[in-house]
Amino acid sequence: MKVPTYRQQTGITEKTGATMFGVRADPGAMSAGLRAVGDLVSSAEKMAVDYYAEQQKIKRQTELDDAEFEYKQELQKLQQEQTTRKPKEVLFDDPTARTQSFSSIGQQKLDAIADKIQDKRVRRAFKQKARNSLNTFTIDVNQSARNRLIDQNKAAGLSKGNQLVDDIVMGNGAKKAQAMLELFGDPSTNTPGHYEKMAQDGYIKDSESVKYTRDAQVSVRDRARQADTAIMENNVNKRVVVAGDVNANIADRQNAYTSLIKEIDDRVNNGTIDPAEGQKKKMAAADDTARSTIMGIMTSSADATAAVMQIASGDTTDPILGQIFKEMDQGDVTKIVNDMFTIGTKIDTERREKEEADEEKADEANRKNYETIINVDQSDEEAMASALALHKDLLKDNFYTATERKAAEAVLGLGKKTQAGADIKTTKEATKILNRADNDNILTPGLVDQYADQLSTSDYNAYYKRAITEGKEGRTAAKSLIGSKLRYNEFKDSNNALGDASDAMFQQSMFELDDWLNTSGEGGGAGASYQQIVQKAREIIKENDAEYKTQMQEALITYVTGISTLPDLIVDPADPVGSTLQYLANQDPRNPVVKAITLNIKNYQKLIQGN
Amino acid sequence: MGFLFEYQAGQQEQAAYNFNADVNERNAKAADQEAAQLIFTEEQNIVKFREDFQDLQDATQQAYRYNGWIAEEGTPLKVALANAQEADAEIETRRYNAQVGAQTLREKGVESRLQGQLNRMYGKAAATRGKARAFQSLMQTATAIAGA
Repeated sequence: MKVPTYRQQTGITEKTGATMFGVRADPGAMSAGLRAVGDLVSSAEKMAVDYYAEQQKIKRQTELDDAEFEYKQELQKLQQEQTTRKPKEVLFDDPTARTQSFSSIGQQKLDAIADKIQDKRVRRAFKQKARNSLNTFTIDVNQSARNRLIDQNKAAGLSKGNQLVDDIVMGNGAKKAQAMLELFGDPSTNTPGHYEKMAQDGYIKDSESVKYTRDAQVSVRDRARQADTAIMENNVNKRVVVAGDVNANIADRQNAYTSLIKEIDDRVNNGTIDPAEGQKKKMAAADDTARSTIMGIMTSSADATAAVMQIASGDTTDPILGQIFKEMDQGDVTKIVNDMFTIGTKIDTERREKEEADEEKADEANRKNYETIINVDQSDEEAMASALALHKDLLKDNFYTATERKAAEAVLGLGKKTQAGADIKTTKEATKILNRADNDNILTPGLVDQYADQLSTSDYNAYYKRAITEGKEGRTAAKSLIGSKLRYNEFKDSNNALGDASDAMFQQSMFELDDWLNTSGEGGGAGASYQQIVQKAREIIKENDAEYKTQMQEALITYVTGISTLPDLIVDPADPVGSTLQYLANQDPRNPVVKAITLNIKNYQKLIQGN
Repeated sequence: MGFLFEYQAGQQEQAAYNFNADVNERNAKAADQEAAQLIFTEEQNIVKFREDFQDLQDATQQAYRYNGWIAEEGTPLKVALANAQEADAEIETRRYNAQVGAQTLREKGVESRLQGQLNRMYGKAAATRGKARAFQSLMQTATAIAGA
């Protein structure tokens, strides 16, 4: 039997059990934290450094900006101040006058501000920038100063030019010659004129020199001409006054007029004025002389319009005026006469109004005296004596109406005693009746007397005054009514037959009214009320109407046939209005005579037609 | 607000590294267990080998005896001793091999642990970086605000 044996089956491994580690530490990942911290620290450090740098930068920039701002402020202030300094002082240092130029002052300010800056870098930067600013400002300021310097010299030169012109025009002979030489120069000696020198000095251009010289020549010529013209006009005006003075000697007037014409002719001949202007001045002088003469004639005449009408008809005794009218254009003569007629009408109106005012004034004085009497203190003997004296004066002037006289004598104790007494009290009935009568314009002194025993003294006097006042107002209204119906206002200012007739009828009517008012008893109007007086005026107008129209027709015929300036006017007595108007229709309507006649006829027509 | 993101990023990166480290640790433990299991299994095999070898020895002695040899002296003894030496060598070789295999596995575990340690170090570094960056971001912001 085979014997089994054993042989080792397993071989020893070649492996050692050791393995190669694949583990590797990543230096990047391992150090990431520290690197990040490092970065952080670096970053922080950088930030701190940057921050410090930035802070320093900002601090320096701020300091620089502040300094720059301060300096610019100083420069602007300085620049402003230079505008009031003399240009030379601005431009140049003057040790003698101890003045500094803008540039020097600016540099001083720059140094002063720079000295205050601690940081060298800032100071250096500031000096650089400030120097630039100073240069810029200096350019502007110096330019302005130079312009002002030039302007000053130019202005002084132009002013001197004007002064030379004044010397030429107004100076004496020597001064005038010197000014002429200085202003215009002398080409024969190569002496330049004033403006030529200014151009040479560069203050004005050559073209301006020529212009200013030419202007000066024109100015000298014009001013000389103006002065000569002014002298002439002064002389002419003086002579017009003499020539137009109707109270002056005729020879003197004639001489004055002739002289003024010669004076104008002389100025024409020497070229001071041209012929057309001379002719115009002569015409103006003639016009002024004529108007002055006519004005003198009118003012010395009692009837200004009549005087003008006489002149208009060619009937003038003034030789100067006659000569002027002969030389003047007829249209100008008509215009003068027309204007003077208007003035004459005004003169006459003013004269009449003055007369009426004087009359009114006198009447007003008597009226005041009457009111003094009415209101006299009856307990004062001296006042009563004075009132009595006034009463006598009024009687002399025939001032009183019957009612007024009665009232005055009652107050003075000269007439019938009233029953008024201190103990009487005014009754209601008396007050009612009298107030109603006052309201109805029928209050009369008689009615007041009727109630005298029912009135206190003061009320009696008050009602009596009111009754008197109503009577006066009634007369005024009646006067106005009569004047209106007679068209007195239209005719009264004329001096012809129509005016005379109108005035006569007005005076006649007023006389009838006053006569009635002064008549006591039956048929009389003494003590009449306002209404009664106006009614009486209407009656008078009616009674006189036919007579008045007849008178006015006769006056019209007399008026139109008596107009000497219209010799070819033939009036039909049966139809004076129609025939006259037919004639006037063919005349020049601007003729003052024609206008005056037309106006009067129209007023006459209105009167006849009752308008 | 950027600094918060930087900080969170660092924290998350550290967490990832820690997770990897945990995995490495687990792998290390698994390698240790595998090494122990290898030794144990081999010892089991050796026991079975001894039993099989004893059977062989018995069969050898049986054969000798069958052939008329005294099995406990002379050549049979020498053969038995030679067989035994072979078997011992076998066992020792197996043990050695098992030890080598186990050593290899343990080395793997060590490697995993080392990897885990590295990951944890990376995690710490990442966290530090996140904090540093967050602070840097915060500082930049603060500087920017201060400089504004």
